[in-house]
Amino acid sequence: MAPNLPLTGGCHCGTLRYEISGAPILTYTCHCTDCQRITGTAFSLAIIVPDSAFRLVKGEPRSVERIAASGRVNIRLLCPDCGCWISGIGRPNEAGVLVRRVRAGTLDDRSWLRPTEHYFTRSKQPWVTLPAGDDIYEAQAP
Amino acid sequence: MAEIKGGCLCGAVRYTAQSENLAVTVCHCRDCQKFTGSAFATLLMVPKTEFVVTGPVKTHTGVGGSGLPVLRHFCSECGSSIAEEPGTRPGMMILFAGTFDNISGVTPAREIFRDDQFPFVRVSGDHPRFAKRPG
Repeated sequence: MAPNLPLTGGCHCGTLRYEISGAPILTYTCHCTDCQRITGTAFSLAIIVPDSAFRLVKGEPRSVERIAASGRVNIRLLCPDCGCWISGIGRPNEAGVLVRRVRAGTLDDRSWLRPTEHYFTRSKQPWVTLPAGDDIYEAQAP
Repeated sequence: MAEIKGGCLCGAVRYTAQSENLAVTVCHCRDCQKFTGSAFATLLMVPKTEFVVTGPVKTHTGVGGSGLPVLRHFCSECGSSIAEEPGTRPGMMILFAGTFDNISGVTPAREIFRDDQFPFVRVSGDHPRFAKRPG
């Protein structure tokens, strides 16, 4: 289902607000142990959008750097007041286009969200059942 | 009694807690979606007296659906969701189970606020499911 644009969202407390003016490229879940720790739950849920379509409209996020198990440096943008992780920063995808991963739970309208890819399912909680027919990867995206 | 050890993603916040079991509540409410940035929260309630935490915990105080305050505790360094204290449950600390060092024994005991659930989410198990808060 295609969402209405622009998409809007923000952190839990409202300090950070953002707008996305372009259609999301992909929606996915990630079941890696880093995502479980930071979200405090079973998996993270994200949309990938063109970085040029993303605009922070309110607030100044904290930027936190962490080296993932893969050796890649991940930069996360967090709300300084409520700790909410809203997105990463722009990073080139395999086609060389700058894309950004935005935490889908922070969107205002999430009725259209339907992930189709699922990563790091080797550490998935056994009681989470993924939709049949989706692309499921034991580790990172190919 | 199970001893729970846990902490945030960057390791700055660490805690221990005691719980009868690892039967968690899966909460699909809008606030839990926002705070986790994900589809639902995975929560375990323990007595506050059994919860010992060290490190740079920061607290955000909001208002829950009940009209009472909800304190949400997170790591000020990496933002990991650690625990919450709703005004409806005095004396209790509700842990975000994804921060447990060992999550292998965690099983859902109930799902709440399914009115806000993402349609794609399937939590398997033979547990009670509630449209809003239980009861």
